Amino acid sequence: MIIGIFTVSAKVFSQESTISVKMQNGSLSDLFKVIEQKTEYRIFYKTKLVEDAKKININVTQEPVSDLLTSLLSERSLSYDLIDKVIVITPSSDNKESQQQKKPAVSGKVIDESGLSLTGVTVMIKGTTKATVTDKNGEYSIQLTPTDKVLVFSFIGLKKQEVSIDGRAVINVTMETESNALSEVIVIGYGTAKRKDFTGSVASVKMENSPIALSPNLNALDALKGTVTGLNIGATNTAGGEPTMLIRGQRSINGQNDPLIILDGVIYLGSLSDINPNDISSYDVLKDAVSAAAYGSRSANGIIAITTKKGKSGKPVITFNSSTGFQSWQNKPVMMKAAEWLTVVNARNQYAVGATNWLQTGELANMNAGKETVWLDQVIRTGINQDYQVAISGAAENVNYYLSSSYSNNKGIVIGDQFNRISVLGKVNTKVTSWLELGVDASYSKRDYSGIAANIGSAETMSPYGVMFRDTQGNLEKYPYTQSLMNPLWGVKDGSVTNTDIRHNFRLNAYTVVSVPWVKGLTYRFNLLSNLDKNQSGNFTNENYYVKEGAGVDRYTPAVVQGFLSSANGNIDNNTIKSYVLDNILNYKNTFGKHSIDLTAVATRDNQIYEDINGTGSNFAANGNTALGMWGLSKATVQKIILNGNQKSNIGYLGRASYSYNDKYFLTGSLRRDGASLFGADKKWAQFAAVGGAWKISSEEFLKDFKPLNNLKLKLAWGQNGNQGTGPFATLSVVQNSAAGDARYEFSNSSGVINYGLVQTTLGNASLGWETTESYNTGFESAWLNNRVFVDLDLYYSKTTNEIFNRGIPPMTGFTTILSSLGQVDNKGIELTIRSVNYQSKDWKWNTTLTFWKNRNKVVHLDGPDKTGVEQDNIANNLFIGHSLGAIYGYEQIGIVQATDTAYIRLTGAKAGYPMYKDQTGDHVITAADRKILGYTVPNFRLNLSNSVTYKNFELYAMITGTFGGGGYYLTSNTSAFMTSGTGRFNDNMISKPYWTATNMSTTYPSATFSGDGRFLGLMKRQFIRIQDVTLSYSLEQKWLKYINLKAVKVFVSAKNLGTVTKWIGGDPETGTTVGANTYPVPSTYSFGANISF
Amino acid sequence: MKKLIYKKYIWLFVLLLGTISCKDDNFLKETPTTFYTVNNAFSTSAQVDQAVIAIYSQLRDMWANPTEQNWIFVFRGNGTDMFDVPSIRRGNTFNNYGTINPDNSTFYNAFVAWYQIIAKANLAISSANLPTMTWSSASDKAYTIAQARFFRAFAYRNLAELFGGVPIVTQPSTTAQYDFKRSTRAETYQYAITELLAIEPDLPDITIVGGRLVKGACQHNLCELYLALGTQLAADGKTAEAQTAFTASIAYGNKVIDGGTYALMNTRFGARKSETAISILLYKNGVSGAANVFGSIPFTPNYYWDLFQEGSVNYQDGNKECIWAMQIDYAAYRAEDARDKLPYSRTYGPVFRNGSPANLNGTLEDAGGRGISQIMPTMYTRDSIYSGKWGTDMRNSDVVLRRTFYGNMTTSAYYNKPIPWSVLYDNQADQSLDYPVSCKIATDKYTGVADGENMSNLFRDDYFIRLPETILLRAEAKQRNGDKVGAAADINLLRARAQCTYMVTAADMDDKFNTILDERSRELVYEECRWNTLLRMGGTIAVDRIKKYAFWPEAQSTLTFSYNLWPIPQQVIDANKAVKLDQNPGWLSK
Repeated sequence: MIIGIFTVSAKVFSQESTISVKMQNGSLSDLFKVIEQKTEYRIFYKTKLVEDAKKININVTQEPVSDLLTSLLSERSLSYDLIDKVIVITPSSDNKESQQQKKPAVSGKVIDESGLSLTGVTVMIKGTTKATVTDKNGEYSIQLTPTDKVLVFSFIGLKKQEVSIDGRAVINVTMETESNALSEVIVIGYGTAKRKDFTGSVASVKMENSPIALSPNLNALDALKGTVTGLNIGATNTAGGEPTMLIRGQRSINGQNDPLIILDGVIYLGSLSDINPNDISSYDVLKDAVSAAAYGSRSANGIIAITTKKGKSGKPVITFNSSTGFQSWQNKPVMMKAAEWLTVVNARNQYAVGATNWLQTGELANMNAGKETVWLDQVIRTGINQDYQVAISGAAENVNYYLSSSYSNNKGIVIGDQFNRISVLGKVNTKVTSWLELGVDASYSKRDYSGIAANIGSAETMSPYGVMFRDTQGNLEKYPYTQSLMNPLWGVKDGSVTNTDIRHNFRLNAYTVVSVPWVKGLTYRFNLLSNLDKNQSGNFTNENYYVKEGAGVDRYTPAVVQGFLSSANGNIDNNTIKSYVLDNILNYKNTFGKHSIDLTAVATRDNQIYEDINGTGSNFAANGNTALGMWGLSKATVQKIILNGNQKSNIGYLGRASYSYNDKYFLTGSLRRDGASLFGADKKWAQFAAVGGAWKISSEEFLKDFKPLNNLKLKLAWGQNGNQGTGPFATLSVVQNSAAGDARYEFSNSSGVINYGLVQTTLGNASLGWETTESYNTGFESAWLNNRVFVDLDLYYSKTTNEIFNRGIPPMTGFTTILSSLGQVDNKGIELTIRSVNYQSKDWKWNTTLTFWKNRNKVVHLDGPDKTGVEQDNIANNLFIGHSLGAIYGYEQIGIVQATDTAYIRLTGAKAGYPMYKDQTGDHVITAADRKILGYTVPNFRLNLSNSVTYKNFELYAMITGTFGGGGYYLTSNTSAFMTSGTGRFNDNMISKPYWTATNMSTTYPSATFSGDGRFLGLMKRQFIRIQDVTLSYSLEQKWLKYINLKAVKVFVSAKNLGTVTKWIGGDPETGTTVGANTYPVPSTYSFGANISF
Repeated sequence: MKKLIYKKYIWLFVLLLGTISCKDDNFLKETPTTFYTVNNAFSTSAQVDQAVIAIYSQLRDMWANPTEQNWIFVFRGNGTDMFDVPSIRRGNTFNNYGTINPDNSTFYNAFVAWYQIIAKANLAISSANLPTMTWSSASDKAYTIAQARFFRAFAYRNLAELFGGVPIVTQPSTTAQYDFKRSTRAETYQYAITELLAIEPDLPDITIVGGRLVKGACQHNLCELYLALGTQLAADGKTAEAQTAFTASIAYGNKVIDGGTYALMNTRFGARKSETAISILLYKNGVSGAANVFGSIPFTPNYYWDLFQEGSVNYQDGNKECIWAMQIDYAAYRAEDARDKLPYSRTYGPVFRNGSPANLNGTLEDAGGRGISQIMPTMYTRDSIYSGKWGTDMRNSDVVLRRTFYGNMTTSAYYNKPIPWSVLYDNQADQSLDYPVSCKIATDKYTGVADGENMSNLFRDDYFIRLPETILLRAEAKQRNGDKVGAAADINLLRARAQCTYMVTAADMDDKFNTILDERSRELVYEECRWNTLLRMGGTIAVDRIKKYAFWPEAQSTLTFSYNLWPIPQQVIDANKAVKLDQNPGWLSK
């Protein structure tokens, strides 16, 4: 919480505040005048307080103002408070009370939206210089004169409030977050900046105390869905899963497109799932080149900076957050019932109408007994999502701490899909001296993904008459219709398969900040982050798993099963990822009259070592049993150890300068030199530059009188960023042998002895270098109508060159591809955010936020021109010059062939009931030349609307997200929605569809016998509108809290993914799931919970 | 004082930055820890042998096709006169020339596979000759290099037969290259011949280890290469040179056939020679378990059947026909080599349970194993080559090409009785799923059933080269050399051994080589690479036969152009940016 930092640090004078004063027989007021002249501080005091104080005789050089004031004021029973650059002189606390008794006064308590007391809020009487600040309990008291009418409460980052006194003696105030985001502080690379001074495009999302935080967020990024323009966060459909993320379009064809994650100012090397969403205070999403430039080497895909919570108020605050959610599968596909399934199986296989002779004995028995199984219902359950968090935080004079521990448990909708996490985060920051600050953030998390989940794909396709249990004791039948398709629950809970997957993460970030005492504005910061991941996973499949196809319980007898001991196998995999980041950051900030400068120099390096040890064992026939499970691997006849490892290192040197003049003109420029181990020997280093400017045009004279406009800032930025686009060792010609070579042979006189081949697996490319994105960003940020409407617009264009991708090469080299730095992909787009305060009164408040963004992607170059000077598309890899990535290339379907289409049938050999394709070339036959680009899998644009309505202590928040297609965008092949035949097995179940017959001449659904022709795609629109989040919360009134001795209590009910409007058939449109695919559903979660502070 | 401290800090910074800078390059250096690169992989001769083993391994993958790749099914015969796809796999057809064009991935995959083998061989040869390499003996080195050069020549033969003249690459590639040039087909054959001639002395006559290359394999390939070269030269109008090549082909055929090492097997031999009767059990409703056995079908083994039994394939097993065999080892399969299997019962076997579920169900021996029929024999392969006077033939005996199937469904009219083929062939779809089962793809005794194997795989060794193929090559060379009597005599070597009643005469040796191709189908079904044979022969042989024998009608209606080579894959032409590679005739407008 940035505001928190400033609250705390404001208690301390900044390092530049030293003063040299020589004074004889001066008064305090004289001294204050000198301080005001020589420093940036302003001093408020009551003349009466200082007029009778004794005279001052001093002669000091470079004395800290704080020391000077403390010594002089304490002699006079006075003390002071410092708020930002304002010093307020007050009587020492002992005689405060006596003063209060004498005169009419008003007192009260100032809290923030979450009910926590705020320390250091300035309380001023309007029209006077009389002011005070709140104490560490958030309480204040101020004397009044009869003319005093209004109190003004102010605090950095919070909205200034004016409150009429109206004769009241007690005025409690709740401070609200400044909705004018221009005053917020944003996280940029290796430092922070005020939004109003910044020239790039950064979106910030406040989590702490926001309704978004109450939503059952399954991971650290879920909260960002739909709230930040240009940022696409994918759906999460497994317990503990991590979503995909993409900022401003796909830039890299082959390489990594994930944004870089920065956690509390340092590159984050762990897994996103290690971060507990409850510990997050805010996000800053750095989208354009200038913002991201600080992380030159890996910033081409943008940056998501996550800031965790910090201690805020003087007294320790204990917070307890708890929520419980229930998950269900929305729009679950409805598979055919047995009667329809029988008809369809006969139709698709051209069996006689009504034939049942292909049913297996067990299926027949079920049919005759009228017993059918809805397999999909057998593999799912009501998911449960539980979250508990306890946090203790506080901020004392020189120490700020935040300790949090949490437990999350998610039982997914699919049986066996489960996840739990224990995480601990501790942050301590201390001011050792006025110039030295030390801090340590440490965290530990343990994630447990162990378990085998049921197979949805096989549940969706299983015969409705399939046999679930082989006996009356509830033991599963492995092959419900005797062959081919396994019971979707086989191995899930029957003990034949065990799985363990536990991941530990240890993270320690230590930092030192030295405020160089003799240069005003110069600080040096040193970060040392070390991160350790210890992951252990293992699988064990015992002999019971391998029961054979067929019917009858004989297959399960111990004697038969014992034979499969030779098939029993397992592995235990231990992997470790050790990494560290070292940052040296030198910063100089100063203001000279109307000129402000901010200079940063950074030297950074990081290193990551990955080590994997995988032990496998198989064949337990000689051992005799598998009772020891995976820890009995050492008893296996065949045992192997497989080692894997890699290492990557980066070095970066950054120089950045920001300059602003008169709060009107802003300029930022940076230059970074980066080295990465991943690239070829002479390609390791690269330079990246960025420059951006902003003009606060609303501060100009000619706009000052234009009342509707409160603020307008124009921005323009250009810059380069790099992307690594590949992993370690990609430049080398790798040779693999032993098991890793995957080439084995056995010569006849050596039964069981395996000879391993040696294989060169890649053709190295020593000239592989950086993928570079050059981008432009322009736009404006504006505030209108007395800060009631905010409109932000960004336009961007980026071109990514030297794309690292697998270039097709002549196979005569022995290789088909080589990783090359070639090609170009462009992205351009528009992002619009409109926020408005629609209605505001004492009790009511209604805010609306609308976000819209649209990205267009284009492949510009691939391999370069061929012999004829034309650049060829790469059809094999689906890359087309001049088209977006994700192009769909194929035959355009124009309905279904009808019996009357005799010419088409004669010329193409198609049958009636088969899909009909457009003859693009006009040669009357359908050939490869008739293929064309049919559309794109990528969305057209996204539009999201969120509303928040507050009435007294109630808050209702709702977010609707929409991802739109149109114009050929957001299409995906969905053959299982159209086809009846062509699935893997002759009797697969499916969803009901009105397939073509001679009497039902469908123009959409092919005939039941059509099993695919290599051309049919069944393109379907994925466009959807989703009720993403709905949250209703209620904060208990302060007056009630007093009785139960609590600081704040908020209770809430919340729903995520409440409903989806889409024409997509089969599963979730966002994941593009089709029927029969073993892709887990995106859950709808309904939760309730409470946040309690002590 | 303060100034001093200030200076100290400055120096500290300089020092800090200094230490960072000078170590930068070391810090960024990449050193793999768990694998080698081409620069450090080779230090002993054992590693060169490993490079050779990788080729043995890839060739086994290309013949046995354990991962069921569609292009390999084509390479092994799908789309020729001999094999097509069943009704359930029409999507994998290689008979619809609407989709067969230079962009078809089958061609690309085949082309790539052979060049991968060439690259592996080049790597082995160049590392064998590294100055730092140590060898236990000169002959050890010579044999290792000879194997690598054999494989390289073998690859060029295959490429030239399938694609015509191709670029000849003899060194490992260290960077991408875009300027390869095609040689002529004759040059490509000639390169392979020169290479094989050079290594012939370095290969042993026989080996103790089954599966390693021997001299016979080299000579067999020389026989085929000279035949192919002669055929091409004749097509080019170089009659005299063609004659010389045919003579050389016959000479190398003679070396193998009459050299004394090899002979056709004409008595019972091998692991199961003492079994005079075998039976295939019948399971009620196709359900496994001893309790369900309700009967059996008897068969009488013969020596042709012995050729395809586990433990009887290798020369070292007493099989004098085996020139070079791929090695399958069940123990290694169980241990970790999942591709060490012949999935023939699965991939080549019929699917009675779908084709005639009312009569014959299940996936057990009575149904020929757990067949999924990736490809199936055309009516030509299964029936017409045995019609009339061609019927009496050991290769058509029930134990070799099983035509007897009993109903196992209790509700079937043919329960415990032979199902007539008219029933099994009741419509074209069922006809494509129900077909006779060769002893080359199924067995009465499946290995590994107790371990959970499900009658998909055979675990016997299998032939790369079996003597009858050399004989058929020599027959063709003789016929092309004008000696039809000699050609007929060679064919009759095989027919006599198979105890056929009809012996061919010179009059049977037609100019379209139908008699030789039919005999190849009878003798080498599931063994030869039919595409190589058809395309090697040139002319319109491939196209004519495909149109005549394809199972499904698409070939008839879509094969409207003529070709006698596969196309150079379009992807290869596109990738070779610096030099234009000419497309083969017939494919330019596809």
